[in-house]
Amino acid sequence: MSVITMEKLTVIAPLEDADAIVRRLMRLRAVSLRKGAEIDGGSADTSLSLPKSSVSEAAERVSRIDAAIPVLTRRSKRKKSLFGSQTTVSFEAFRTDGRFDTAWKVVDETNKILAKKEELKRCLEEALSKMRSYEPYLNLDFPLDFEGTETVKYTVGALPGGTRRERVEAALSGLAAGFDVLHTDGAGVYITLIVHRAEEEETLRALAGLGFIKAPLPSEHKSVKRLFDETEREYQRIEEELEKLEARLTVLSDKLGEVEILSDLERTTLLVEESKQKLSASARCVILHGWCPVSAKKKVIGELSGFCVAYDFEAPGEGDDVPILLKNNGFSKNFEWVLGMYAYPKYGTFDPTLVMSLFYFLIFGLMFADVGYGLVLSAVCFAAVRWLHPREGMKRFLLMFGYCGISCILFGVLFGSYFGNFPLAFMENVLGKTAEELPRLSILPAEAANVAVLFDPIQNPMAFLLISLGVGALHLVMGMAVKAFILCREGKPLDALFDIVTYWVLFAGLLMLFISRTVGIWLTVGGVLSIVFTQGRRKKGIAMKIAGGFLGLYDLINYASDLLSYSRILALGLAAGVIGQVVNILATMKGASFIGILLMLVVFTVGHLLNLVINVLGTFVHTSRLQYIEFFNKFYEEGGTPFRPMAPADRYTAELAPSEEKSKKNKKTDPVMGDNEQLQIKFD
Amino acid sequence: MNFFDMVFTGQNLALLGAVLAVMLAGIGSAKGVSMVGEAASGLLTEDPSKFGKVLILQALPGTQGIYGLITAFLIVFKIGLLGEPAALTVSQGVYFLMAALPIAIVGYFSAIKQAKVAASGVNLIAKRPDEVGKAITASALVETYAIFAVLISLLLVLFAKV
Repeated sequence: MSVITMEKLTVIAPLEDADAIVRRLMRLRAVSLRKGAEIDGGSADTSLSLPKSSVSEAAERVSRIDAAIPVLTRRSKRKKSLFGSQTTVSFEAFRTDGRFDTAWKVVDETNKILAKKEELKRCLEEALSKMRSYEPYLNLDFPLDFEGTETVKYTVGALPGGTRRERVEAALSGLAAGFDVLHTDGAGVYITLIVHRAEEEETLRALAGLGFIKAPLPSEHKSVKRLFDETEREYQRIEEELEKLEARLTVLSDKLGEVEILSDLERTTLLVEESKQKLSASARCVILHGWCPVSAKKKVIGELSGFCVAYDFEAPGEGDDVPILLKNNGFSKNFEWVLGMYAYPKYGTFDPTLVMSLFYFLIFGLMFADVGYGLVLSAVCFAAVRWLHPREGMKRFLLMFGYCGISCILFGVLFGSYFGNFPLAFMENVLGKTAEELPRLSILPAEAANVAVLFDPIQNPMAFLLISLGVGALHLVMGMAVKAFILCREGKPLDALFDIVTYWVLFAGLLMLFISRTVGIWLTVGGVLSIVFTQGRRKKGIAMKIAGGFLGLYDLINYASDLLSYSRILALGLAAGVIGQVVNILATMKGASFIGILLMLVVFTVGHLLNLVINVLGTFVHTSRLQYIEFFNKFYEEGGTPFRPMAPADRYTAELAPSEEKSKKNKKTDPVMGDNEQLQIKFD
Repeated sequence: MNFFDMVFTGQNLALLGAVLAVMLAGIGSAKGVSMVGEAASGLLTEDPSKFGKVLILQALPGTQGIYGLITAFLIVFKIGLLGEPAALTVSQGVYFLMAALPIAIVGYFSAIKQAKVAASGVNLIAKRPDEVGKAITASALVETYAIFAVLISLLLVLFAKV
């Protein structure tokens, strides 16, 4: 539960080692780079840097791979992974055992096929439109280059759709011309026209008035039918070729795994090149400025000592924007991302993750107390972590909900909720027994018959409200205690006494009023007086001091409204419980018959799944809110930027560290501190 | 028995409460979810990969409708519509009607107001995808008042003497 101390790292290295050093540090995931402009208030000379050409080359390679991957993924028979599983590989082995070349061949061939497919599709369109234009003239027997005899002109063409025969006859009356209708459809009336050459022009003029156009057919010594067949064959040939290409892509997609490794490998190269751009460079050497957590200092020195370099570690100075890395135990670190969604603490301040995680666990379970839902939630989350090998951020996301599911189970036992009131509904409607026959588990004497170890919140909401507010009070007092701790650590114990303890005395007094009146009254009066006397201590002048003192009492209203906010624990708990009840009533409606059991299975599954999803979302949002608004408000100093070390690309793979390669352990590269993947949850 | 007495029975007044709770809160949620949905589609045309993030924001104003539904169900259970109907006096009926009003009215307005915050949260995500937590929190703050309303509605219904 702490914010890890950072140090500034400066390395001066020969130019030719820059690449190797960046790669080594990247693999450690323990150093984040600072740009020249961020160093020494921007006075560092940023004009000295490495050429940009290698960046664009690497980017070009990555973009070629990126174009191929979705194409192959769509055709791959491999199942899609839900949580972004990673495979573990050794890049070194990948480069040397031929898979590297294979993968590049696959990428290049895929891209070629893609280009070819585009071209073929264009040809296909062309053939199709040709065939459409031939279609109306299929009945034409003459070869297309036939233009008539010496005296007679022979023409083929089309009139607009809907042109009536009589109108054409009327237009041609008196002319030495005849026509025959080949084909009629919505778009046109297709005709052959025979006209005496002497009257050709006149006839065409007359027909032009009706909208006659000559057929757009090539003048070849072939019949239309033959042309059409030829084009159709061409069309089929293109289609076959496309199918072949498609089949080839499917074959290539078997190599998707290799291409994904290649993608990460080349992307890592791109990241290395981009990182190198952040180095200051001269003709002979480079200077690397970065941040390094002290916990990883030894490893960094270990890597650097293999090179001929000068390096220096230095404590951060005033005004430095030190990146934040949190360190927590195995349970609490899964809640860091909830903290990250709010804001990271300032450097050197208190890391509330541990306290928050405990209350998160408590409040989540209380809000969504149900054994059934908790079991499902935990089982799904833990199973996904166990078998799907999600990446670090997603793993923590899942683990957090898995733990919260355990909390739901515990509170579900206390408040007797098993998929809502399913045991009761099942007893009454399916087994036909009365509620009296349910086991009476309650340890409280006056409870009605139910399976709750304490009581059923729906039957006894006021008691549950008291528990909710009690947990809320504990949460708020804890927040104040953290503030007191921070004040004491900063050497201001008196502030802690006046700003925190005085209120506690008052709270205790108010509470005691319900138990022992005299003690309560004295404590309350004592608390009020101490607040009035101390809260104005920073004000100047006696009048302001008194006013400040009474204003301090006004804070009581804030505490009260904070406390009442915890009544949402009851409201959301009731919401989940009542929806569960409704589902159970619908599910057990038809009793013990065959249809009834069938109905029960369907309604039970769908209904409870829906309720689970809705309430996990609601509980997550409102538990987080109670932390952010009610709890953090008491002490939190936010505003740090998370530490994002240089790291190799790991979209598909986790690279084996060289040491692990040798020991042949099939384990994922363990990050240096376990905390370095800064908690970017991905909802997608 | 005149028409007025036949329509405004205790049973029917209680039913009116249930119906109003589910209707008003439901309309509010429907409006709210659609408002955020429109904003979300705008973002998704640019970047479909943000679907998961905006989906949560879109779902947030949907809860009021669920609160209305729960209140309605509880009233329906309580007045025994699914089994043997209890005989309610007019004043008991009015009690249930009153009990339903907090979630009916607060649910309607808070869903729409919450949707406005969520829709602007979609814009926030468009520019800063990492800040999804803040967008959700800002929107959830509005929901607090719907939660208080449903809390009172539920408590009133649960404590009703029938």
